[in-house]
Amino acid sequence: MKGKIYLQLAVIIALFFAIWLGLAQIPFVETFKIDQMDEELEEKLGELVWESIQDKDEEILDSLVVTSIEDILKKITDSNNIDYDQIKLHILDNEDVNAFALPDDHIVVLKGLIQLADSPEEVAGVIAHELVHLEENHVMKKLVKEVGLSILLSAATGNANIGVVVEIARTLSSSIYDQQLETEADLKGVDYLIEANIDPRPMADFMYKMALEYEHIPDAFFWFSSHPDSKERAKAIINHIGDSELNNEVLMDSTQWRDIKEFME
Amino acid sequence: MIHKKEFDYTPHDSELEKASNGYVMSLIAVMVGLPLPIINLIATFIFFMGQRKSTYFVRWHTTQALLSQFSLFVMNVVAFRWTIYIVFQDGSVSNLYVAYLLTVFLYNLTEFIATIYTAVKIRKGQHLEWFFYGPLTHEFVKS
Repeated sequence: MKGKIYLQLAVIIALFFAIWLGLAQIPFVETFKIDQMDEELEEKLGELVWESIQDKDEEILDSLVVTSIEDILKKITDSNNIDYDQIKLHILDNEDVNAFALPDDHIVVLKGLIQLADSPEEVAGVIAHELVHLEENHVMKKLVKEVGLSILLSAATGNANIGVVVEIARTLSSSIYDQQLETEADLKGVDYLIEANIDPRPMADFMYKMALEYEHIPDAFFWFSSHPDSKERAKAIINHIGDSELNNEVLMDSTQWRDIKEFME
Repeated sequence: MIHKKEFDYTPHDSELEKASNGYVMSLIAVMVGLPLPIINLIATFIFFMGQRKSTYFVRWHTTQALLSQFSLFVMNVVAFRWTIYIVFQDGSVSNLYVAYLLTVFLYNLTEFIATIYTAVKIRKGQHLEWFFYGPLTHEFVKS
């Protein structure tokens, strides 16, 4: 009797795997354009959220500032096989110390963060971190988790009020990702910088400096206050750099950096 | 896949009703249980516990219903967890995932039809044993 049971169990399991693996040969994702639907949702959300942010703060369009920050981004993307043209970089006239990524490959850097940075490498570190959030699809994962897929779909199809879009923007700009995603963004960001011959250590310094300088990081320092364990993260970054071979190149000359800082003041 | 067999004795009409209800219970649970896969199992298990001191015929069929629900539960839990993982972690739908959902759906559908068929036939006084679950039930339930 037991032999019969095992034999019949084996038949059921074998049949299950045969059906499963057989059906897996059908290209469902390609046929039903599931990936394309994701892309369309992301594109629409990116557009809506960016519009709501744009309504609030003015975009800085000064060519010196924009070109300099874009050059940093381009150096990182080109060295890491990331399509530079897909990234939409914006610098906003806002005193808050913050930078964040939005759906559909938008990176937003606020004036306050550039004002506070002591070197272009510190800004590069923040950009690299946000770039990882985009490349690893952290932005959409975070939105689905915190806002919910049904609300995102209703926002993208125009069936939600403006409050929902503002809430999405708030979620992305002023709250932390999962610890795991933040760590991934920090460490992969360091890898991006090393690959681009940009010194990654100022990134850790920037965090450590903030943690030391402000026992209670002011709320307006979003990028740091929403990352409360800055000191530990700085240490993790330094550990990750370890004995990596650094071929650091000068990111921009001191005059150019000084001009940017003066403009920002 | 479902065999009509002679039972050890001729069950009383009240036994037929209870045994048939064991299968109906899992059907009702399907209606309210989706998409949470555990509800079916809990409902069938509660009914099983309620009948564990019942007659051999009733115990035999509630056990067959419970065992079949348990294997579906395992498949459905994997589908549920995989979906949660995609929504909250990975974010990408693969052909393997869609194929798994379809396979699980086919197994659930087969089980659903088999359950209705069995519930009706048992109510009419027939004894049906399912492929694999019948012999397995004989191992668990003794007269």
